[in-house]
Amino acid sequence: MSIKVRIPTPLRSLTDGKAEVETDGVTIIEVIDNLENNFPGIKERICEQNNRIRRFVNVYLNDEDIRFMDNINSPVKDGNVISIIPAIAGGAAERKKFYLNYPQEAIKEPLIYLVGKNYNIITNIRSASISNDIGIIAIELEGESQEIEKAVKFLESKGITVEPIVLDVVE
Amino acid sequence: MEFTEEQIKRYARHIILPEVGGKGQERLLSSKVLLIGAGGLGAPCGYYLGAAGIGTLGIVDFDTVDLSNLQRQIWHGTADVGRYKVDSASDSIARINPDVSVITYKEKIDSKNIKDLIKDYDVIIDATDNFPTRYLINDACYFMRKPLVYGSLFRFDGQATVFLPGEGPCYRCLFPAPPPVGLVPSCQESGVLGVLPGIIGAIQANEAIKIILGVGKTLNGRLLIYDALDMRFTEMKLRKDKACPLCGENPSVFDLIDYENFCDVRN
Amino acid sequence: MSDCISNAELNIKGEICPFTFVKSKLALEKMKKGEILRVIVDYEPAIRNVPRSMEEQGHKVLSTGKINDTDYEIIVEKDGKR
Repeated sequence: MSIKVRIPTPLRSLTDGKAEVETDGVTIIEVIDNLENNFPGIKERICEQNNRIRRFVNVYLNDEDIRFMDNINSPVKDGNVISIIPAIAGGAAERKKFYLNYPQEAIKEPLIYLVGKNYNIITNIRSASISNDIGIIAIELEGESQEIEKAVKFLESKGITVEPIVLDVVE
Repeated sequence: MEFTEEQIKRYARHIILPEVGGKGQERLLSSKVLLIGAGGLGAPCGYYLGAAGIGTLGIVDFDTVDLSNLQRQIWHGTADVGRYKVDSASDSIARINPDVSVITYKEKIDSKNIKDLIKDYDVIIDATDNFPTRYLINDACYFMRKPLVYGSLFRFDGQATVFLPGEGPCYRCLFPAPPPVGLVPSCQESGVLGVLPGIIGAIQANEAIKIILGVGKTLNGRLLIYDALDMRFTEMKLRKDKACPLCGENPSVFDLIDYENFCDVRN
Repeated sequence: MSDCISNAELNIKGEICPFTFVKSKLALEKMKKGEILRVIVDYEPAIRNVPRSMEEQGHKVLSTGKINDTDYEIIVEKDGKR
């Protein structure tokens, strides 16, 4: 008995980079459980705690969505191909650089920490000059453009002047 | 309409095709397409739509060109870094085809402006890069009965399909809800092969042109999956879901949901 | 010379392929099924290329021929093969 499972790129870090793996099982959930035995961690990316397929992942048996069959109990036969198709939004993470000009009253607040904590953003300070009364920081924000925009708004709401670094002077 | 000598030469390869002809080319020239997103998917898609002579091309994007965009967003050049993407895109289209009237929108699309943005267009193209906007576009196109050409990518994987409200499934039939932020791969892992949006964006342009011409068979009801690493195209059945929260039998989405709400999912 | 009475005449002397066909096709699109178009060209290869493309697209080529030292005619019936 051999079932082929096609692995989407976001999950290939769990399958040693393999795009297609072979496993067995007579139902979809059995196949997923066997997959988990071979590649620990993969099941939680596909299923919720109660074994239900996550709402932003679709599982196809050949070319049919299992939601329109017997879902995770759909019978699987030798030679079937199972595809795991997650929702993907596209776009690449952006990396943008800004100068942050701190007014005196904002210097003591841990704003960069808060940006990293509250938004899905990686912060990286590239250069900084902070004295008692003024602070200028060149910072790189990496994340989806929407998150970056929210972080910028947050900083501005705290009185920081945020200027994009257009020319790559920091690199 | 009477073609000018220049138009006859420019569109000769279209006019020769039995499926297009002079009448089809006229239809393209009088059509209006809205491209949402002037980035990786938008660039090839907009380029081909412009070259094809789409009469009115609306382009929505609030962002500016960054050096890190140029690896895939081929209608912006090094000199455009720092400019609004829609301005750079508009210049690129003007270089290719003066027949196209480009309307630029330097706006962030949200539940308040989306209906106004899409209402005058015949076909909408989702060339965005995030889930909240994709759900917003899907819902608005469903409410306004606008054909929607969907394309999406991640690293080496691409997806494309066509949603025809009233005729076929919608994006929520495919994925009822967006993933919570913590469960999608982190930005550190994220990235995309520069050619991938070129392929998917070109497929979107192809589908938009077919919808306008009314020829061939669109991706309506089929999800096209492209794996650039294995170089494999796969096609999945995409069915209308009776349980769809938007277009199903007992809908729960009756109005546009602003994406800010989605972003709270992770909290 | 053809004896057919044409409904329209298209003089595209000076044009070469594929524009000879493109312009003939655009002229045919404006006509009704069964109507006759007379195309005059001075580019010799067009009297082979244009009829072939027209037949492929459902029109019926009634005749082709040289009409003087420099010019050729193609007589075609719109949708004559549909």
